[in-house]
Amino acid sequence: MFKLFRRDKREEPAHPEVQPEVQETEEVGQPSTPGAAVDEPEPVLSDTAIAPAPALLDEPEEAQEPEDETLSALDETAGDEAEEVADEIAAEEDEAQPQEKKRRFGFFRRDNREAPARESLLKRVSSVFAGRKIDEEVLEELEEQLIMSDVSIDTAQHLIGELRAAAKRGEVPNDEAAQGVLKREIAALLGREASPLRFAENGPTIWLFVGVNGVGKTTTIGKLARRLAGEGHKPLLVAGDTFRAAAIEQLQEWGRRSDVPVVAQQSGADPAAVVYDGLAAAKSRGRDIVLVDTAGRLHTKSNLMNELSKISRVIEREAGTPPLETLLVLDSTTGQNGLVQAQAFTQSAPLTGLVLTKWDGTAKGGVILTVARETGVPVKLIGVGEKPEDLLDFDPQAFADEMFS
Amino acid sequence: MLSSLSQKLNKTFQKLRGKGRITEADVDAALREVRLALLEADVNFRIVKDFIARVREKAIGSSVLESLSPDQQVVAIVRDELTELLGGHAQRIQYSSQPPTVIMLAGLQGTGKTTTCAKLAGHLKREGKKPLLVACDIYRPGAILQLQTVGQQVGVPVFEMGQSPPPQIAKASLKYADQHGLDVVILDTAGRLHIDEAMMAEVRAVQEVAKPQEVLLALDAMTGQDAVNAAQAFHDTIPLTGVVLTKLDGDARGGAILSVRAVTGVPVKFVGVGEKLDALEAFHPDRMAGRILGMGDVLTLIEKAEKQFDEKQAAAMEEKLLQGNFDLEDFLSQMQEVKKMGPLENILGMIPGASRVMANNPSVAVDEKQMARVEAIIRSMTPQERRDPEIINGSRKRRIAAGSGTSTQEINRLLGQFRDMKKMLRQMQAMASGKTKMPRGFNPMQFMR
Repeated sequence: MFKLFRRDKREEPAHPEVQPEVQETEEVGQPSTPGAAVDEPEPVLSDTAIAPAPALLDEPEEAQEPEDETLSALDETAGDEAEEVADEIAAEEDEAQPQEKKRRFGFFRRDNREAPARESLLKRVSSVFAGRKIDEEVLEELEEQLIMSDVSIDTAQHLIGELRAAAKRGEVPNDEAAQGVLKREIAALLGREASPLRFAENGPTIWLFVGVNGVGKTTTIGKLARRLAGEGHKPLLVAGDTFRAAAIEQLQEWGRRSDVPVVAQQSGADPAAVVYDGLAAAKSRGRDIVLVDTAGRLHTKSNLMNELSKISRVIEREAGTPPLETLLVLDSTTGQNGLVQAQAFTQSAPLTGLVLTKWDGTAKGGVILTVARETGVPVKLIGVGEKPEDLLDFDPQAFADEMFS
Repeated sequence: MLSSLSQKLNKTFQKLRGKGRITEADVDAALREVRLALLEADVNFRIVKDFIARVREKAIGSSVLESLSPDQQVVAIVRDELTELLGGHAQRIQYSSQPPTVIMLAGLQGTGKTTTCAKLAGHLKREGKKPLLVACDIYRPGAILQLQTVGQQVGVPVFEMGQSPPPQIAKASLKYADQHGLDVVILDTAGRLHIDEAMMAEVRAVQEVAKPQEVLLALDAMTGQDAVNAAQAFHDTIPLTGVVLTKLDGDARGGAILSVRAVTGVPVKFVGVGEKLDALEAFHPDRMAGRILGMGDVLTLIEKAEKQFDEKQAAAMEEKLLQGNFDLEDFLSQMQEVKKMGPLENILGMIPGASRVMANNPSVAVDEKQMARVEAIIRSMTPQERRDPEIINGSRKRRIAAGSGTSTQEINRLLGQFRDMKKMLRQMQAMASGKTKMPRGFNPMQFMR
């Protein structure tokens, strides 16, 4: 498992195999010089990039392995070990397989979580119960565990209240039952049913990605583009982050990797104008899904939030409808500020969904319970690793299970 | 303006006013509010627990129980403890006696390492150093170009070797700095998860090669409970020497920094307060303490108030108010007290009880110019007139108006307001009969428009 993660890291630099397929990107997105700067060293250095690794890691065996793998094939779904993953993903396409989905979460998480720091809520809940009956002390400890998962105090108290009520009704004879109740209530907060991303029936589907700085908007779009392309869609990426240095090139690199065109203007351009171009390009080139990247912005900056409204308006004007999905990307490590973010962003660009990123760390992302509870916006995607395949459809039940796994 | 915590504490203690003595249980009730405030600010649960225990000990042992204003006392203790936990005073970069000084930035993905590197480089350059930025993030697409771009913006050279192994890059960059007479090397490393063993091994390898004087953790101010785990893991792998708290220009309370301080003990060296490349500031523990508590700089004002308000004088004033013996002389002296402390609006919020008035009556805006005129009017009165405004007749008014450069209408208005105020005070006194005491430092200014 771990090898799988590890290999990944080194695969990226060795990515040049994908390069020949760049043309399409080039046609659309224009800044050619900076783009070249990014990929230029790759082919040259890819060998050296990998070779010295063993020395550094003191784990020659493990480290050498990836070398062959990487050099052989990356574009073919990231090496052998990743096949499993790919299978899982494929299974998902068959749909109506909740079992599979659930397992997928576990697949990514369980083996990777061993350190004491990653002690799961389940273990903690079990240890809290250990032979005790549910009394106030136990409930208090449970509340503590929830709060330590970034669940807000209000939401934690709500969950504990439900558990207390269930206990009064005699439904909680043991810790297993208690977990059951908590899982049920957590899933209920998240809307129980998975809420998949929506596709337009006619005309291009437009998804807008928003969020504060550094949450992983561009990476999410890059991964999603790969997945959509793999599923036979014809995505188009729009580099709406014209502010951050190299954000455009970052998106273009993702486009290259998945052979998906990217519409971009120069850095500093009006993002609404880029979006306008992007929509026009999608129409003229027959692309069916437009993924719009935007610059990270703190929700407290009114000028930047106005800019976002403008982008949203331009989409509505050009497409006749608001973006089919306006997705707020939230970092799992985010604390209570997540709620404020969601509330502020939905004012400027009404949100239709959340994307929870970086869930492969030790952060539990409990703030989404509060966000979902307070705003009613469903979580649609969850990022559980660095590979494109690690961006999964969100399933409330599986998430609740995972919080206890 | 007055923040949630002080309002809550105020409320908690208001219930207790007139109870005579405040008990340990009352302090606990107040500390529950503090606990909630800290948890809402994302301070780690366990750290909050320890913190509250420590504050409780101090509060019980101190004069809080006898204090006339236990809420302010508790807040003051909390603030002091927080400030201490946050590290006393601002910390600076440690330079190597033998250049180049190496500074390494590390952290989770998306915390703002690259931006911080550039800000830091710009800052050091302004201080007369000759920094070099080094691109050790070989994974994220566009990371090198990003560093090159921001490096150019701050006018600092950027060293890169494409996707070479980061330890090699670091090593080569030191040589480069040496050859080119650059005295500070800033290493921008890739964002990594603290549980990713391979990536953590890599960052350790970089650290071993480059032997940085400063190893700074970039911490996002919006981070939640998990900050302790990440900080601990980074600290265990590459002993940190400091933290840079980023994205502090948002509205996150930034309690994570407290967690990180508690876990690692390393000081906060800088805070990032904007997307512009000069938006890097020194860290002020006291301001941060206020922010975490959700109080802004009001805490600083409380401190000022503590210095300015003489306890005895305040008690005497309270007595006067209650007796209805309040005259224009007192009015003036109160006004002087208030003026010593700074902008009026902030101060009104600090005065116990005033926040309530202001909350019920948001239109109470205080005009500083108006205050100056009022002061001039009172100063143009004779002592006798100040003590007994009733004797002020038409000719006295004309004299006062001439002396203060105002008009008789303004003097009439002031006298009218003063009469109304006295009337109101008497009513309040009647209402208060024994049940609630007049809050200390009650200030007539709040009735002025």
